[in-house]
Amino acid sequence: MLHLILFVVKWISTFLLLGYYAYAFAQSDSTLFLNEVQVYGMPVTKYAPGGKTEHLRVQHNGTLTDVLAQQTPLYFKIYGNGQLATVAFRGTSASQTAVLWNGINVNSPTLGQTDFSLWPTFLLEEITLQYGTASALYGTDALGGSVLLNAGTPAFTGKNNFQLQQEAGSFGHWLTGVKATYGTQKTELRSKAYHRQLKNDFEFTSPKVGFTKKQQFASTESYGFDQQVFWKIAQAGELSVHGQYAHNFREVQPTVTSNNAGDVLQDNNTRLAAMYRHENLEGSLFATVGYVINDQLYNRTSRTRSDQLTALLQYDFALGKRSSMRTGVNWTRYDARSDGYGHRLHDNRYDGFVSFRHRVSPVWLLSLNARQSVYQNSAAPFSPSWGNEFILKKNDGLKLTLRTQLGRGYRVPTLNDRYWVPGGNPDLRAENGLQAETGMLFTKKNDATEFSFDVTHHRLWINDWIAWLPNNSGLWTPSNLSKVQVSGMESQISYRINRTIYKWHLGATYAYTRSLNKKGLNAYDVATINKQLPYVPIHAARTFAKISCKTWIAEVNTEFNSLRYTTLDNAAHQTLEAYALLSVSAGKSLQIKKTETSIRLQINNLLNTYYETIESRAMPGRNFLTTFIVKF
Amino acid sequence: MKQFRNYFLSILMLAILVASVSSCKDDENPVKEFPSGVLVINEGAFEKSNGSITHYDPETKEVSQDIFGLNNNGLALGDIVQSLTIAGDYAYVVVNNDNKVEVTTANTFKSVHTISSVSLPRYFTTHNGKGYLTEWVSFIDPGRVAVINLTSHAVETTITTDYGSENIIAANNKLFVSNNFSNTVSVINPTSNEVTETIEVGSSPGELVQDSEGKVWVICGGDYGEANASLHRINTATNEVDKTIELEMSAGRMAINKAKDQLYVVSGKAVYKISITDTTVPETSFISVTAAVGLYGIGVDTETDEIYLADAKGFAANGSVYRYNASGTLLDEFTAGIGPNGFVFR
Repeated sequence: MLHLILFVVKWISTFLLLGYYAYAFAQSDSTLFLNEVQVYGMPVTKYAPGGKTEHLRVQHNGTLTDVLAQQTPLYFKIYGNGQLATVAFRGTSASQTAVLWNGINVNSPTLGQTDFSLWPTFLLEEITLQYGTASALYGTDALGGSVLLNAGTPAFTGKNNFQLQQEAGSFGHWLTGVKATYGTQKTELRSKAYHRQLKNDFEFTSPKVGFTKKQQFASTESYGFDQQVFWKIAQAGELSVHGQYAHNFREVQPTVTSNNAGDVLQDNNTRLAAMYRHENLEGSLFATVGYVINDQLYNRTSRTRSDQLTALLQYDFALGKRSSMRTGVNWTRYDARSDGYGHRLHDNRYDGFVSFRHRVSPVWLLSLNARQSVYQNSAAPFSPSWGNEFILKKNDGLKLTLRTQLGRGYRVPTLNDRYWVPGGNPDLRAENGLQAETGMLFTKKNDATEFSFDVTHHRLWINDWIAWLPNNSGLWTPSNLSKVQVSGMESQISYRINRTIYKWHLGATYAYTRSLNKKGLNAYDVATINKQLPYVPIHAARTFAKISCKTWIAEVNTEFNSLRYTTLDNAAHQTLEAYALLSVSAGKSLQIKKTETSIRLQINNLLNTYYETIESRAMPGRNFLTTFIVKF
Repeated sequence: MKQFRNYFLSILMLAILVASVSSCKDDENPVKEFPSGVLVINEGAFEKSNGSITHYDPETKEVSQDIFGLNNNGLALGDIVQSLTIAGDYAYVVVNNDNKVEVTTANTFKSVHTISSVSLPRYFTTHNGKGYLTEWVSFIDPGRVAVINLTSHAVETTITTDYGSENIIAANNKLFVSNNFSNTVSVINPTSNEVTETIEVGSSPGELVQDSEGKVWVICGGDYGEANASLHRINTATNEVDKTIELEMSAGRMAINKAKDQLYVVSGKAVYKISITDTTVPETSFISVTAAVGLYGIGVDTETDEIYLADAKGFAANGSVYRYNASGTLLDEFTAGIGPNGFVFR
């Protein structure tokens, strides 16, 4: 019944939008495509000078995986369209990337990683990427990098905005979403709700199968909503409450050789946060209380659920005119249930951290950060970091900045690593890494153009890397087995031209990553030493070209990943081939009085390339997506 | 017009060139035959569809990886290549998680037929001109044995056993099936296709071998992580367990020597040698493969009496195979595929 209602709603909204669009098309001309929002509260990267950070554009379609995979050289292991997606950030493992939602680490405490496909962009406002090791700032898991998801700063305009989005695409892709912002000069409310489904009955021709096959048993359905409330309390205070619920059901896409239905997985993620900010002359006080539930039902019977309560208190204050400092504490309590644990688990983590930022001279900005985390009965490695930013040249719109950063990071073993029955190892140490990076950013601006070039070199040594292997009696158990050494470089180039009639934005990103295993599976194993880690492309590149002219917009994107090994011994006959994807889109928008409508047609994988990001999981070929958006 | 002719000619030239190059390519890839030697079954990592068969020639020490892919234009065998049985002109490759048996030619491993009406198949044997395939069916239903017509490759009938129908051996004109999710061995009368008896053994029964006295030994892995594996000897005339050896360790893989009077039992990185007349396990191991990450399969060459041990390397890298002579001296080592779990000797 619910399906029928959703189906009807979907079609009605599509027709309404089409009709509305046709009406609007005849009426108006001007445009407004995307307005960037500032990060809510304190700038997340205030104490990160020296490191590489990037604010990403929140795309209208898809999930967080799509945003990151298209705009950055991050590599994702994607188990099919809309399926599990885990990241390899600067050559590290899926659990060595911290994902923070409003400052709260939301990596699953049981598996230690994030499934990026469970974050629809529809619910997201601000995405910031911190490259490299930053445990001093973000705590556990921040070895390869950190993904920071935050609420946009409230405007308190008192104006009401409403947005309706309808997507229809290949292989039974449907999305219906609504967003609303309303309030007064003192309160602001934001509501979002969406429903998305993918049938995923695409055709593919995998060399392993030898003929064209239609993907089966890979459908997904998700829905969710998000509610935020911001209150201005007098002049100095602000309180906000954020609530998010996302439901995702999927048939786990079987491998290319399978003709049978696989597992089914249901994820229910609930995230709640209350944040308070108080400012006085000396500084700002930030307090956050968060509650996160990850509830996963495997094959309709086996449940894994973790409840996470987080309290975060930090005080940010000025020390004279050129310095500022932040100190804070973070307490997190995990409560987890799973068939794999003998009993309910509790885990407490306490973090204390301090950050310092000092403008030594007009050209030198210094940052010092440190964090100590304690979990259960163990202390995580003490994690300091030291960053510098030097402005080497600055005149007439030309700027050259040099960055350096040295930092230590850690990853607390997951609950599965420590307590899984049988095999869990409570004596595991936290993984720890030491990172050094240096980068340079060159920008040149004038009235109509903006050019930037960024190049970064990084090195990371990770010790006590946790891996599961069978022990002497054949029992699988994790140990602090490996050492990994990563070295690489990233470069980005971007060129914007802003004319009155048209705007160009061209850019390219390239990353070179060598992530080498430095320790064998045991003392006798030499076959895996100095080999590239599986699923880390040595070369990754992205390019984009965007042009907007009056009310029209067109975009061309390419994505390239070089060959990837699938085994630790880098056997040549078991690699995934390099691939390049091309996607194009074109859109038109128009403004009638206060109503803005837009329509966009997107063709993904235009060249119909067969590719895999994880061995034997087919990815879709050429596919189409239409997006209608109405804002008023 | 002349321009057109030139254009036409160049296209023709190009076509001839392409045709000759592609025919060259065909000549360079003749079907390779593997009529003798050692076949290593690499089950592959779960849900990666990378199971394969490695061929090893003990005389030249030459290794050929993924011989099915090699002779079938890169096709994959599939997800979890559990076992391989050669009978007559065919090789039966049981692909557990793809619910199929790939029937190939015995020497060239060219795909001939796919038996796909089976559920989580495990092992295959032949007896009196029929094929018998064990199937788990599911993790909640009792397992079964499918009776397969060796000419049409059609499933003629199925015989329900106990949970987790696993290894199968023909002995004394009966079929013995170990039920891995249970603690029983089912005895099947191949004439009536009925389970005539269910013999109670230890927890998680697995591999079966027949000794020189005609008795069937079954190794029971015990409970996961509990180190309570056991050996049970079944008198095939009475269908009774007439000897039990408690191994007091974790074990699951077993093989018997050429003379069929010594059992080799794998535990962790060690192999224990147990005489069929023994009543206990020797204190010390016969072979200890210190270089191994974890042994996952064992086989004995029925001609040379050499022992082959497979190290699955925790499925993180391609596995290794260690070849020992009958007195336990290491002869050779070679790389196999992902998760080697057993051997077939030709």
